[in-house]
Amino acid sequence: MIDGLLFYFFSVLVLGGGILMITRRNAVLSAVCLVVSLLGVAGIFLLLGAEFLFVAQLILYVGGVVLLFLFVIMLVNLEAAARVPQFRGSWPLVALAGLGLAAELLFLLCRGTLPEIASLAVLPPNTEALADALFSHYLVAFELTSIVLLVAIVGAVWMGQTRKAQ
Amino acid sequence: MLHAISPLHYLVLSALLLVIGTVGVLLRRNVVVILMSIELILNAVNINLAVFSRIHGQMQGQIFVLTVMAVAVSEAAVGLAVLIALFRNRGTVLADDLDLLKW
Amino acid sequence: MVGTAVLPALWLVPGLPLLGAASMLFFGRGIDHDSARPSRIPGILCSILVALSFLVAAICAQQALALPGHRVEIRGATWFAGGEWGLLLDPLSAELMLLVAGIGTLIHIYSTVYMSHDAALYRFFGGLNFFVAMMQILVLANNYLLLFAGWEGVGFASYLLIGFHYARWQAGVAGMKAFVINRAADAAMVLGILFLMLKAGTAHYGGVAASAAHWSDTSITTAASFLLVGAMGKSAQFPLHIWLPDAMEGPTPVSALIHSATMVCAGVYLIARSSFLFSHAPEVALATAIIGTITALVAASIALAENDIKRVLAYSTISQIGFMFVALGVGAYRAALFHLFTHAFFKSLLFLGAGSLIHALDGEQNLKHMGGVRREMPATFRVMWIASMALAAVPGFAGFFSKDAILGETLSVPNGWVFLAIGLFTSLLTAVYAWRLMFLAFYGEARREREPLRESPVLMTGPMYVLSVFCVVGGWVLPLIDWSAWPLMVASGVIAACGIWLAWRYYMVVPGRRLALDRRFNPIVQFLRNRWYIDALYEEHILNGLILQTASGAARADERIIDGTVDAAAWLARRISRMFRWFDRWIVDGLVRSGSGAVGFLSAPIRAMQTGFLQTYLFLFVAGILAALGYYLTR
Repeated sequence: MIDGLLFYFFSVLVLGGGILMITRRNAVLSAVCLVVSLLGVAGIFLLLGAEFLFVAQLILYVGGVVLLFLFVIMLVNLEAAARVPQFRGSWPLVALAGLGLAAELLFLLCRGTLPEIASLAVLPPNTEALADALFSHYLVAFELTSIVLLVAIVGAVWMGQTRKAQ
Repeated sequence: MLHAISPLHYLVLSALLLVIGTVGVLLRRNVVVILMSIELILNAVNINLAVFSRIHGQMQGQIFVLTVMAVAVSEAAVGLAVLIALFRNRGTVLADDLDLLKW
Repeated sequence: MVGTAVLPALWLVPGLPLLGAASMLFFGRGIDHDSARPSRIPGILCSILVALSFLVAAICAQQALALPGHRVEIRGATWFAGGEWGLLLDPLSAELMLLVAGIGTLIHIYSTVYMSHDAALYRFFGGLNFFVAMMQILVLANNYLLLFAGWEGVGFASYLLIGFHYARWQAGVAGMKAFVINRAADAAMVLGILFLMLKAGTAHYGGVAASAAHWSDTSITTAASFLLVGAMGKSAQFPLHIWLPDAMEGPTPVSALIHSATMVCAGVYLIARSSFLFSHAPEVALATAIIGTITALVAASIALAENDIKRVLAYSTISQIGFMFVALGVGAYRAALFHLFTHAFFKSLLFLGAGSLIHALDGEQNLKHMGGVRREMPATFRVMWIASMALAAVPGFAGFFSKDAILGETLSVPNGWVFLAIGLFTSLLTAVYAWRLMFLAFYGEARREREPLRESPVLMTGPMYVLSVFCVVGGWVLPLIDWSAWPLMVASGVIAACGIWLAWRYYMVVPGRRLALDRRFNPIVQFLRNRWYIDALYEEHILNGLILQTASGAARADERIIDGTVDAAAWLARRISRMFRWFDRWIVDGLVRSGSGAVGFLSAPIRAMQTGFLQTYLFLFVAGILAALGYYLTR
């Protein structure tokens, strides 16, 4: 029963934060709602028994990405952006498409059959198992990921430079 | 309503989050918000992967999640850098004004 | 001497000049192409040809007249039913033939010098030769048709030569006038000839004469009247005389040959040849005499008031031919031909002398601007003096005897004394105007400043001297002097003397009195100066009336019919083009536009998708996903 409550609690955080985020005029408020949503996702991870992901989510997303967003929001001039209409003129169409997409997905999900969920007792501790898999079978993926991060950093730094007298 | 939470619930959650993120990308004119909506989409995918990892009792799903997170972070960084460069050149963050795709 | 075998050479008499004309026609331009240096070949060639034809004519005449019948006829091939290519040489035609050839030769020689400064001499001498040839055909023809051919030929040649200086519009107009009036008269003449041919079945003189013996009076009168009208036109009798003074626009040698000596006498010849008709048509004969009398009087009176030397001579010619017509009218054929003979000499000499004057004076023709020439040009003066004596019919000179012959014969008809009286008065006028000319031109002082004059070259004075000889002896040569009419001779002599004295007094001695008289009788003077207003009448009624009406009628027809057709064609073209425009606009353009419209219509939705906004494209992604999922849903 706790599971159910916690799940619904975190779901509300996720979905509510999400909906709020895409409807706020103020960008900082949107970022805060995003934080809320991401916190909810972290909770979901926890419920699924993925502790490492929970921590990673908190550190990376909440402490990194959203921070980045907030910096950028400070840098760009959002006063003018806040004054114009926020939604595109075609929002009914988009809302319709969204609803349609949701309906289709849900329908598909309900039609399908899922395998039995594994019991918790069989699972090794999450972090150990993750480290085992990561550094043995998926080492190449790990290295490549680090290269991706490197490239991203270099790119972001370079593009973020102020050009001298263009 | 409070019957056992099956993986289906989680999948439904991720689907809904996906839709919310998609609508956000399509709907908002502010590029920063668009980028944030993309994060939502990525998170939905992460939830999905975590659920299936739990179902199968394998680690692949979670490793994938880590990879997705790393990529999401890089993409957010690069995307914001591009946004700043664009803002410097054009003085705007509205997607409507970034219409160079149609000359 | 030379036997009668030479007689067929009679064809050479018109033939040689015709050859000259033909060679000028074909080769003349080639020979005489440089207008800056006129060639002498045309003049020399044509003069030689005419001289040769005179030689042949003289021989033939001598041969023919030696024959018993004094005539020879050469009959040739038939030309038109009733006409033929035949020649007749009898005293009548011989006289004129020799006249034409002889005076023609002299004038050709004269012209080689007189016209030496003109361009296109080949045209002039060609025309002159052509004239001589045609005149010979006229004179030598043995039937009316061939005569008419020559008649028209001389008319045409006259038109060419009057308008020789065609660059001067007056010359062109004068040429046309001559031709047109002659044409009008010739219309009557053609009718007459046709009438003769119809009634007689032939145009041959002898044949017609034989047939006419059986005709009714009306037929004869009709035929004679038509021929009379034709003769009046050619011989410039009143009222068809107006072309002759204007014909003076042509070069002076032309006036000498054509309009004094030969062509104008063609009418006299015609009537003489048709004597068998006229002698049996008393009314027509009377009309002839009356016309001649009126003409003589009117022309002489106008000559008194003319200031242009050539026009004085022109009216003099008209007047003298009037005398000849009087003679013909009263039946005095021999007298008429006698006067024709003498008149040819002194009139052509007068014209040549006038030409000499004009040539020396560099183109001056106004008597009032001359004066005192006799000291500077003695040869010309002498010959003119002789010719004027002949014209005034001073006893002893040629004109005296011939005119008296005519006047004497007038009494042979009832009331002929009227003709006589008027004729004597006209003789007085003749003497006056003849010597008026002499006094004004040669005597007294020069009335205008001028360079000293030089006498004309011998090639000009030579022919004049030859002619002057004939002016003196011409009267004595032919045995036609009737000494029994000596009272008339005395009277004529007195009149001639009076005329000369009048001219001398009022133009030399007391010109002031004359001027006073002129002012007192100004209406009469004006009347004469304006040529009895005959020309004005013609111009107003015929020119402006008839011809103008015809011309404007033709212009209106042209406007309505031709312009109407053009307008109709334009309207049709417009309608057709409008049709095409509709077709082009709706159908052709429609096809094109529908093509482009289809493209636009089909591409509109695609265009709508290309917004350039990323979010649109993303939306399309989502829509695509929706579609794909939907597909899987239905499976």
